[in-house]
Amino acid sequence: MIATDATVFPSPLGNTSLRRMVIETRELGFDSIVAIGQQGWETDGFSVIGGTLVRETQVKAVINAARANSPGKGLIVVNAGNNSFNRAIIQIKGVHVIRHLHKTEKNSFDHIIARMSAENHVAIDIDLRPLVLSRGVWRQRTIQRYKDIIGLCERFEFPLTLSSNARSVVELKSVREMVNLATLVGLEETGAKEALSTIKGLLIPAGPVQVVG
Amino acid sequence: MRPRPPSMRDKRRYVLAKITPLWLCPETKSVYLVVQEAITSLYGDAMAAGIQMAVVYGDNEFCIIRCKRGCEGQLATALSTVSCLNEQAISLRSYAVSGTIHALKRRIEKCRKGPVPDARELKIGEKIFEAYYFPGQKVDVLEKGFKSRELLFLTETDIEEM
Repeated sequence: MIATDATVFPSPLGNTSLRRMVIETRELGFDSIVAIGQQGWETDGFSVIGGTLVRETQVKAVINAARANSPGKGLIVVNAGNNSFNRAIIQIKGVHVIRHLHKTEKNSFDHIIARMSAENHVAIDIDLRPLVLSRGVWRQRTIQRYKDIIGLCERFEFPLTLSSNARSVVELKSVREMVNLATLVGLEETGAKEALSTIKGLLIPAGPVQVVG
Repeated sequence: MRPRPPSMRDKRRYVLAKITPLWLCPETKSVYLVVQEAITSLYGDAMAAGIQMAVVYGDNEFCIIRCKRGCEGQLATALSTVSCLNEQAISLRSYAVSGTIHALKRRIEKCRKGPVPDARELKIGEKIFEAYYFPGQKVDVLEKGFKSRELLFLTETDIEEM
């Protein structure tokens, strides 16, 4: 099974070196990770995909990051914003994943953006960190928001990714744990496993059929 | 009071959980409290009562947690939401499920990494750290001191390159 943790933060962003992250995630059942702020490399069948996280809420910053990224190599992950921002970035060629939708207003991700996301093959990230770290009302709101996104996903079939957002070895989750946490927000087991294997398809999108010979 | 005959007892399941980091060595009671809090906050009091959780065994690396049969999935999910014990980051990863404690203890013997190694002193820059070397090139590095100790998870290669 192909399983990718869609966002991890090795040092200097976290307290764990990239090599240690690779050892630990391999033991936890993954065969690739997206490491923010790192270059992509491969070792013994395990691949580290370099990721660029765009935190700015200006569309221009996203365009610049997408241009700077060489196609097929690194993953461009953008923090979501309000409705118009999300609608704009989803149309930028080279943007792969939109994350942190649970932190935005409820109308920031509607059925129109969901359809555009499916058409442009841009994935929506389900960040499992708030489910682990927050308690009470905040966790309830996050679960509610994720259930809403998953409801739209079932209707429009846009790609989903699952991420631990780990900054440390302690915060990493195994494949089974991620599937368990995903079922908590309304994703079925098969859907969760599918979401774990989305990343490679985002890097090499399916092109038109070519007739050879 | 006489114990109930086996056919009238509740059916139980035992979940083996792996504790990370290894050098933390938490007490069984604190593990119980933190898991109980995780279950209650995730599923509520009524569900927590139904799960009937108890920590029946614990050492530095593994703990065995009992629950009612059929609730092991919910317990495993609640275990993944444990993030902190006595203000220290911790993770409890469900590793195996069985109907007997004996089977899980056999499993522990198979995959135990051994006792916690003695800490070695390590100097990185100006700071002095305690380094715990584990099998598989893993090195946990903890700053010496009392307050806000820096914690790093590295490999032997990382330390050689420093």
